[in-house]
Amino acid sequence: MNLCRLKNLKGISTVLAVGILWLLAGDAFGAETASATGVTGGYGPAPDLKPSDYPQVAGVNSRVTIWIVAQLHLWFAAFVLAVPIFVFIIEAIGMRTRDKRYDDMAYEFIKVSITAYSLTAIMGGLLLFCLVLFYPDLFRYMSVIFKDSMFYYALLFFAESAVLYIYYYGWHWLQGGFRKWVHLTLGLLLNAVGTTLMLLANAWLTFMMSPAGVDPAGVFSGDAWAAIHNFLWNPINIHRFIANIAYGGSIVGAYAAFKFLTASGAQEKAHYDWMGYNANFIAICALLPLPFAGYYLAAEIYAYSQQMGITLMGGLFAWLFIIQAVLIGTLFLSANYYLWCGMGRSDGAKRYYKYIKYIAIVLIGAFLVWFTPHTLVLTNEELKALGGPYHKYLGPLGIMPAKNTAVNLMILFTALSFMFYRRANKVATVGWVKAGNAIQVALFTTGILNIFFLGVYHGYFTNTVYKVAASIPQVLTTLIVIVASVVIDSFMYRRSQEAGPLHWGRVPPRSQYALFLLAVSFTWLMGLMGYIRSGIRQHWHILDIMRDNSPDAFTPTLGYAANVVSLATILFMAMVIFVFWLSQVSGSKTLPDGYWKE
Amino acid sequence: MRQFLMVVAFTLLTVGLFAGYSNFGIPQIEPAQPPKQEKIDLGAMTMDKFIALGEKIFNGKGTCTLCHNNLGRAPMLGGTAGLVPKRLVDPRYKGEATNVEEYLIESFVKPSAFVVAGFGKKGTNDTVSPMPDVSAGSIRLNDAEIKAVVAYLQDSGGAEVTVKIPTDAPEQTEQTEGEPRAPFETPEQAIAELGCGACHKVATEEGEVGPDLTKIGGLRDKAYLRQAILDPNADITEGFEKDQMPPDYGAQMYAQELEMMVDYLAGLK
Amino acid sequence: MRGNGYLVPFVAALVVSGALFLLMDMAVMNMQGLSLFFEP
Repeated sequence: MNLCRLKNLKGISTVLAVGILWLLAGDAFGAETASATGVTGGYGPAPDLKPSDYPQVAGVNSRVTIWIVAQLHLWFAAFVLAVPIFVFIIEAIGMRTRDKRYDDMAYEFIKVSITAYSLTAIMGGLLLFCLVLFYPDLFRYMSVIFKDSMFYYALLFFAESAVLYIYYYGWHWLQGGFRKWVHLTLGLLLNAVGTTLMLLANAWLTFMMSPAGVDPAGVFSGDAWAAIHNFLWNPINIHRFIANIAYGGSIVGAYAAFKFLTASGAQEKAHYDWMGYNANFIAICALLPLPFAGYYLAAEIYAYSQQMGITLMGGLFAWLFIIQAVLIGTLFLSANYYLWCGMGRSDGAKRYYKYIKYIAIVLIGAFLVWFTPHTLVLTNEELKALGGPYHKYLGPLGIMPAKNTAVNLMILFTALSFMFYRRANKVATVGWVKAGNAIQVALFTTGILNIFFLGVYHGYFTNTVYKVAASIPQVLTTLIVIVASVVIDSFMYRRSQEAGPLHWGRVPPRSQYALFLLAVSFTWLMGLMGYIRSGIRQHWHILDIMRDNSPDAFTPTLGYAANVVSLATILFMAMVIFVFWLSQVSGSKTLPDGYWKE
Repeated sequence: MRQFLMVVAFTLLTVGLFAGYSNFGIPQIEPAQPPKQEKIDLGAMTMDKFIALGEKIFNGKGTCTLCHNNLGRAPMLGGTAGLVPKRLVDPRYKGEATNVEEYLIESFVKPSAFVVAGFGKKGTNDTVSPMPDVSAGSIRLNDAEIKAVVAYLQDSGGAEVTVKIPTDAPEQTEQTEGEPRAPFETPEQAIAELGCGACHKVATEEGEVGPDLTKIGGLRDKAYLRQAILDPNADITEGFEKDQMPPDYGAQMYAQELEMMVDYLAGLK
Repeated sequence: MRGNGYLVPFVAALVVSGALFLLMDMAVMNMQGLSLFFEP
């Protein structure tokens, strides 16, 4: 652990040292342009760069380098920002239920994130270094506008580290009564600081997509808040906040799976099975609202710039959403598979086994509809011939009713899987079980019919406006069915009997691979979506303000992007598995007989 | 150790499948290269190149061929340069030009100075031209670009090319894409800037190449109007031609401007 | 299992939830300035 701490400090000091150097350089630049142009306020326009303004290191592709480093930083950051969120919740649950298992699990989660925290800092430092090295003018321009927020970011990083260390190392010290409350408050503080850090970093990147506080030539008005509070800031904030939780859950799920697979005793297996189940639960809970946050973000991108919206949903990137569909389908399938395997822990689950095959059929059917490009029968040549940015079939918003219907069914049936799982070990004792079940079946029936009606009727017999509009009641139907049946369930299973003790650890090893699949797919998907988020700016560093004139300004093909993302994912997973392995090593002792003098 | 290797293999397999699908499962589309940010190096430009530039602007950015084509919406310009001396002494001429070059430049920025018989706005008895000022609005040619088009017209019209390649305008850039602009505040401003009135009767404009829009809200609903802007060929009103309206107005407007225009048009009853 | 204790609430819930979904569809479409059934 001491080793980790040292590494942490080193990483952080690198970030700060480089950061502060560049903040100073940024200020010097501001003063320089002011005297050169005589502009009041001291801000010059965005520089018009030439290819020679981009330093080249022989044999190194600047864009791929910065792409991979930024992506690695983001993955680690997402993970270490998310873990404290649900650690806080789990700790609070433990305090309320006085079940020590929760407290132990929360501690183990934060333990995993501590090592990842140092890697986050190292990657952040490396990213800064790469930006300064490969894109000095862009960084200088950005640091003039965001000098204050960058400075406070550095300070907050200190605060984050301090709180995290007290929170983690003081876990067993701050136990019981008032001390536990102090510890929980520290957890809240940790989350507040971490979220603020994310919001600041989000402001910088959304500024590049939807610049604000600058005039069309890029001359900064001096209003830093306007630049931070730009058009896409909040949509990205919401999307990232939810996605981080889902991602953090999936990574600790992979951790639990790794520990489960390498565990020796039955008790250890039981512990990590339980931990994996909880991590998966967190990931799925956050995954369900994610499509809606993504939809909101896309709509806001479209509202900000129709051009960017069309780039996002039409033409080239239309195919990216097919890949995304495959990935999300994989996420859903592996999450469901894990739940079904998990039913083996209960002796009462047999009652529900017969339904699982139908859920599987629906899920696979929906998955096939979703990723079969049947509305995209264009070949490469046809697409070229189509020319223009408009996509003939996707329309400006890329609404595909068949796919919307499929995704709603997938969410609905995943919820059903989960309900079966919850019921597996329970026997209801209330008198209205039959009626309750009947109502739930009816609710699912009408809900599914309504989803089909909206999807098929509005999707195939009306125009684009209706197709877009009908997706909203479709989504609402899904949500209503889920919420209503969960509410009915919770009443129905009040004072229910247990069918028998739960056998934690009684799951096949392949279920643990489902957890791995979830983590890997999530990682890869985040990388892919990072590519499109950044890619829709096309040849602009800062949309319409600062043009990218580097040799790498072109938009890469999807295959190329997928290869970079795959490489980054492998690097990331290698580091993550290394972190998992470290946690194993730190717990084991070797007795060197006769080595030390007695 | 075996479990460790299994996990590694499984991870590599999963990533490999995703990468394989992205590379081979879907078509690889080569995205267009970023548009060239051409610097017109006027100092090093020969007259031939300048004329070629003019032709490019005539057919592209200038959007001239939208109307000056063989569909009879505006006069063909092939021989105009040769006709200018006659026009300068025509009693209907209201401009101040004294030679071919001045006349052509004037015709770009003050199109009503001379209106070819039969091509004026309806009801004005050929005193007002439906053509927009090409140095303003959405076309916005700069001085060097206007001169390049003049050179092209003089050359293609068989007249002597008298235009001098400007040297006083350093580093004129030819923007192949729209510069970022402030959003239009009102529908009237959008109509003026986008030049809707060149073809449509709307607001204070009197165009007649396209359908009259002054009462369009009573005839069409919002969805139709939105589609008509985004995809003009989706439905053509009887008596009008296909392919007349530029299909890229949707891309030129911000989304909220599109909705503003749709609301405005739907309200015209 | 499928006696009246099941059938009656099932049919009742089917009718009620079906009607409610239809009402919701209409309300949401109306809020967007459209009708549930296509009007070209």
